[in-house]
Amino acid sequence: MNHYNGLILIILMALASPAPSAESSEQATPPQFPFHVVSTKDQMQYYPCSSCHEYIPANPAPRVLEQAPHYSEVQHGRTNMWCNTCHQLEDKNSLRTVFGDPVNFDDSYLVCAQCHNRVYEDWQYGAHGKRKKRWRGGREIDNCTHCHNPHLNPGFSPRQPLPPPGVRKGLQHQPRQRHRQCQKWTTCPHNQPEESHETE
Amino acid sequence: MKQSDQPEHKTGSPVNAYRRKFLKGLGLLTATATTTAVATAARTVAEPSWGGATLRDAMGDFFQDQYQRMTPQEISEALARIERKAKRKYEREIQCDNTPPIEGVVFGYALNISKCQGYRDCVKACVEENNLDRGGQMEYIRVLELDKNDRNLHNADHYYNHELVPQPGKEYMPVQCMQCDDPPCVKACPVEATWSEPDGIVVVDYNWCIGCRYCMTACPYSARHFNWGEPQIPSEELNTDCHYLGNRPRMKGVVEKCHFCIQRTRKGLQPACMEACPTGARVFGNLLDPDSEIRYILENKTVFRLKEELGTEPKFWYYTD
Repeated sequence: MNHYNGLILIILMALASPAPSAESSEQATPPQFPFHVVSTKDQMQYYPCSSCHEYIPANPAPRVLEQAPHYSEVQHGRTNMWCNTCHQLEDKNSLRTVFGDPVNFDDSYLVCAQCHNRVYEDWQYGAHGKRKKRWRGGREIDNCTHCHNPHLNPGFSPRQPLPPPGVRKGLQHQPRQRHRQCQKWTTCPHNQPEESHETE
Repeated sequence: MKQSDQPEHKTGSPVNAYRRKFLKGLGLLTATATTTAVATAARTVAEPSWGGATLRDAMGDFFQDQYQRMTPQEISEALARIERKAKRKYEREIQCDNTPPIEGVVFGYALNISKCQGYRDCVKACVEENNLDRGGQMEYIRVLELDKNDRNLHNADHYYNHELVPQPGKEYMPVQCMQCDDPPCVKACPVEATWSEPDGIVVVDYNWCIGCRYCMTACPYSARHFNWGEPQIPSEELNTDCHYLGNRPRMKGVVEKCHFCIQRTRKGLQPACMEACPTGARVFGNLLDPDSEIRYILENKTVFRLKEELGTEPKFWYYTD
């Protein structure tokens, strides 16, 4: 029996060993999701930046920008970041990676992706972000900065919702009673009618 | 007194007098009735009693078969009738087609509930796209407001009307037709007026629906809606790009439901709710395509389906970041 056990073990090991390598080779080539990012350069108010910054000497010191028409402070990164973290100091018309490589403004997601890589992955494959126009064919998606402000609060700001659904006559909505407010071991009494309901 | 009166009624007894009076009244009544009938007949000639349609159209509608049993010739005639009817009612030229399902496509929907903000933009877009009854305020999509960490639908409120959304501590969960793979509504229909199309969309033949509303009680998501009255749509807001199984103008007494914007999605466009969503929480795609966005979500995200335990196999997934 011992001989057989040893033999079986060797066969199992031989069978099992190639499997992980095959998996890793699959992981090495992730599916390619081609996409096209909607250009927003023409909607940028002050682009090209060089039209002003050509005449302003570059000053990388963090400070409050008093007379600038654009953002005067950077909340992103909780004071650990300043303009030149993401913007090229020399060529103001492009962004930069942390290694200093220039990045086109329309490819700004590459700058975001350096830190927010998990969201970037979701965005790349369609689980995050907004797709435009068609559900099939060439994917056209919004850039990160379309929804998220990279300088100040990046979230969606609260706004008023559209009106609630209408109610048919006789089915007017009453404020929801919590489901099972009383203790589980007691008999739940019927919900008392609302005071406003009684006056009607 | 009686004796003095008698000579005057020599020619006829009092009974005869009453009879004469009665006959006179009857004659008058008959005359009035006849004139009314004539007037009605005249009006009928001017405006036919079959709803302004020609007799041919009215008969065509009446003898129209169920959609799946109609020949292409009959379908094109039915589409032409729908267009003529819309022209009469709304004074707008509509294009009603019956774009067939795309080969190798089964539609699926995914919704990121950690992104939904409860703005109800999808609801408005849906109403406008699908020619929903404005009078009955019909809406295919209901946005439920839930407490975070409490997905008990008993406590959900879809009538919320805050100054601002999202409210802190709340999350929002839009619910619409799930296009079940094993749809209980289809089983409930006694006349086969609703069925599942090859691309997975559960559709209704509004002409074949008898309005019994069995499907509404069978649906666990309350996704089906009934036209209690003649649908009221402002003529200028009518969407003229219609599909026979989709957003063509409906009639009183039929059931309707979300159809994943069949008139758009079969042409490659996004459903109106997805296009309107400002947050990008909605993802629509082909479940059979391994490279589609929806397949990535199903394979890589934590997803759940509403009332999955009922075994209706909904094709609408909710996911979180």
